[in-house]
Amino acid sequence: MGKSMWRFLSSVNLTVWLLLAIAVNLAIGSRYAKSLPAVYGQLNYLRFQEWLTGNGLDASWWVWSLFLLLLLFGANTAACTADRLIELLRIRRDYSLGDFAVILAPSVMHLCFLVIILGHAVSQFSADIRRMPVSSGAKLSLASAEVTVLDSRCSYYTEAALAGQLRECGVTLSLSSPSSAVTRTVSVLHPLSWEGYTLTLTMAGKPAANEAPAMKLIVKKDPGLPLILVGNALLCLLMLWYFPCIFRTRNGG
Amino acid sequence: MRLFNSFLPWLYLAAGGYAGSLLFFALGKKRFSLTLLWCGFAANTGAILLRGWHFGLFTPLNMVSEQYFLPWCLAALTLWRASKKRASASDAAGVAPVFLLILIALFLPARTIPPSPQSSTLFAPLFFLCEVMSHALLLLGGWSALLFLMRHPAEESFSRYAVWGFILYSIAQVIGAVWSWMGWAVPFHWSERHLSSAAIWCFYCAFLHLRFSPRWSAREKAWFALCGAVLTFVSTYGYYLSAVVVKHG
Repeated sequence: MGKSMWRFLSSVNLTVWLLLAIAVNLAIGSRYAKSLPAVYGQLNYLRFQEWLTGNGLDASWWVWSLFLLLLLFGANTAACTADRLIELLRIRRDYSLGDFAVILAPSVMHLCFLVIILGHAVSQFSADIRRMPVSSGAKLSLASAEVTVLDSRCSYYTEAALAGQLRECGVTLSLSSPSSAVTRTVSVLHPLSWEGYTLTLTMAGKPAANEAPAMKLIVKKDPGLPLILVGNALLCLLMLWYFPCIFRTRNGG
Repeated sequence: MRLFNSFLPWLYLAAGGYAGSLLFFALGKKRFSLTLLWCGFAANTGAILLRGWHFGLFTPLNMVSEQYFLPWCLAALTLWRASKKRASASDAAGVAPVFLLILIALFLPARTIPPSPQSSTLFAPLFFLCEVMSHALLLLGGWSALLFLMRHPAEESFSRYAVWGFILYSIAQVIGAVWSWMGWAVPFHWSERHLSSAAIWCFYCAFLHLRFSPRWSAREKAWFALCGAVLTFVSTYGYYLSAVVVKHG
């Protein structure tokens, strides 16, 4: 019974069907997000449990089913990878180091995927996210620190075809914690790291020519982010190395 | 506006080249078909370059607009396939989707986007570059799968296009995640765009795993690749097509 359960959990057919179910679930979710962007947009800046308090099952059912499917898929990937790794360790002496690295790569890619999923889960359930509108003198109190907006400025294009179009926006901040007090500048697309927080300047909508946009400062402590970025980068590098190796082998090279 | 207008004739030239190429391919004149495909490709390149200089300064984001860059990528892939030493007769058949896509570009033009603070990073054009190139590979995979299903056994290469498309698509998602984090503080947006991209990624991830299960035949895999291409096409052009449907009641 236990063995057949394990075989079912680690089977590739289950992987295929789960991935298809997740794809359908995501496609349904994209329709919901299109029709109610304000509702699902909140998920970007709220923890899932906080978002749930304002949204019932009619809005959240597909998010629940997505989490459930991802949980099952995570278990399937872990079981399948464990099976393969045990088998590979048993036969490792039959291969040269280079060849063994090639056949080991898919398992490492699967581990990367698990790390990415874990990172997203950590982000969605535990990230500390605060938002504040940007206006001179605005203050944001954190656990043991404070952020104050000193001033904001925008620059505009002067070229004929782009006259009045926004070129760049930035804010000067006073950042104080028990250990330090500093003045720093944050601009759009150039987030700032400070005391474990990431401070990001965002624009709300597109302003008219020569008009300053409404801006928001997002202050975030996200323990899942390193897992997501490192996992993704490693996954892509491995794919770029593994697939050419495999295609060469299949071509008789 | 003057520059935008100067970009349009190049697009019409490209469409003419691709149409002629398709016509000669249908008539079995491979050499003429390839020559005209080269001409269309050169005109398409000119159109893309002009879009990049539309505002009088270089805006690479406008060069990788899906409507114009996707047919360019597909034409490049078709030329590469058809110019190989052991090219089969159907290798130049990729000109059919190239022509279809340039027709869509003519009827659903994309406006040029002025630079903005949120797109003034190399990650923005790099994301679209990888994404559109991956779309081209996935569509070509679907097209090859269709030919395979129509009894062209030489087209079993659909799997390879889909795999390379998937790799590029994954890289695009990572670049997009970095851009999204820099600009909006989140690597993944709960938005229509990101959710449908994730759906396509999962679909092709499933396709990749078919290889490891003996119960899926080559024909079933071809159907899979074809469905993936349809999904990619609908996801790419769905917004524009639904706008047309709404406009015409």
